[in-house]
Amino acid sequence: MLSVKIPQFQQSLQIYYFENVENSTEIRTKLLSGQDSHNFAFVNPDVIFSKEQLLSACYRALLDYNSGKIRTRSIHSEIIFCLGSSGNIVDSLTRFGIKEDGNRLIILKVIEKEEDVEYTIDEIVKGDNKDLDDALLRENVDFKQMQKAYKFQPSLSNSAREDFKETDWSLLLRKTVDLIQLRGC
Amino acid sequence: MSDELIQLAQSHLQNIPLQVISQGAEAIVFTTKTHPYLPTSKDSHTEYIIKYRPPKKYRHPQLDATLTKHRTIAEARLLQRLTNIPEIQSPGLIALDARNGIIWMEKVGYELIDYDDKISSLKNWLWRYNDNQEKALTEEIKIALEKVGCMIGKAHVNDVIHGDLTSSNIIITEAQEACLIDFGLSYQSALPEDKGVDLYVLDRAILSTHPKYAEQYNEWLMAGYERGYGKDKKSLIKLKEVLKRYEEVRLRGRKRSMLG
Ligand SMILES: Nc1ncnc2c1ncn2[C@@H]1O[C@H](COP(=O)(O)OP(=O)(O)OP(=O)(O)O)[C@@H](O)[C@H]1O
Repeated sequence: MLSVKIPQFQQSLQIYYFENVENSTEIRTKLLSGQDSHNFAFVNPDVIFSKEQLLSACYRALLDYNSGKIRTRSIHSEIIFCLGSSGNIVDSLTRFGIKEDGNRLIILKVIEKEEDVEYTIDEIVKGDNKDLDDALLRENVDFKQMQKAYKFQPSLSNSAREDFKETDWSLLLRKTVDLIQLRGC
Repeated sequence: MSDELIQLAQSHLQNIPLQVISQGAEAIVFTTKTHPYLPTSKDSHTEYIIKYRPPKKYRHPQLDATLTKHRTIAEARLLQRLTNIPEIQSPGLIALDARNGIIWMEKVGYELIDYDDKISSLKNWLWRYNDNQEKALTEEIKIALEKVGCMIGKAHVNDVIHGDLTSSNIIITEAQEACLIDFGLSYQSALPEDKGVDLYVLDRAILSTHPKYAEQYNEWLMAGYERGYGKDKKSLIKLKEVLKRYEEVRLRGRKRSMLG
């Protein structure tokens, strides 16, 4: 688990990364039926290649949340919406949210100041709890889905992940952060 | 007055230590060692830039809020535009709070240890040698100025007009590459006239900031600028058009100053 405090805001974040997830369908069903036990942001790791990408979206979501400007139902859905570059909420929730048949999963929990949250992550997810690590994310990211989500110019679909050099990754990150921060502007 | 504005900035940037480095007509620029959302280690020396456009009391509040938001977004958009032109070095956008007029970006450049630890803007970088003609006109300086010119050429090829090309708004990095900053007046335009005026602003800025060597410096800058256009025919036709406008703008400027 990665614990992050974004200095400007009261809230803090807990972030998990799971592989070999067995119950994505169940999680998704419970999430969609609005069960309190599933008050998390469940993110599709196929479109995540860096912690910075995640945290950049969290920053934006918390900024909007703390100014009373969120566009979705909760801070958790707002984080997923903020990962995208489009103003279309349904579209972003579909691309960045949990996939029915996904076997990897990123889970974020926003915790209010002095809030006592009690949950056991293993009761929610059946899978292997791993360290959230950029190398691991990069190894598994899906450029086709990334391209559909962010519409990069030039297109990412023709690039092979194996050929990506450090400078390519950092340029991709910079483009992604630009898109996240400027969405809707 | 300015303390009040700094307090206002601090209220939008809680828990972020702020250090003022510049206070212009439009914005206050701060540095900080705290990243807005990445965990920062205590001994990290990396600094970030926060550009804050405070409200202007003489404007109608509603209009002021709209203007500030638009200008902040316009500048952030330009940083995004430059991300997509990898030949041009520019600070990366880190975070945007347009409602409050705040842009976070990478800090570029370094401190000139042989010049009171001042920031390595082209201005300071050149001024170190102002009193030493031999050092002011070395190959090293020629190469750097050509790189600066080349980068401005690349910006123009991509229809990016900087709008405020002074030697303070160009940074020389530690690797002696040129980097542009301050896009508060920048815009997109394909018009040769706009590019000519951009060059003229630079020409005047060099003349007033580096009068001793202005002629040579401008010559090197322009040599680099032409190189920035590359060699293909289409670009060379565009270059010629811009240079023609640049001459015309200079001529108009000269006439104006003769009429006094
Ligand atoms: N990304 C950056 N990296 C390093 N230094 C920077 C950066 N952005 C701004 N600065 C510093 O802050 C100063 C002022 O920034 P900038 O020119 O963007 O603000 P401004 O309000 O438009 O200034 P002015 O009105 O004086 O032109 C710059 O001259 C430079 O010294």
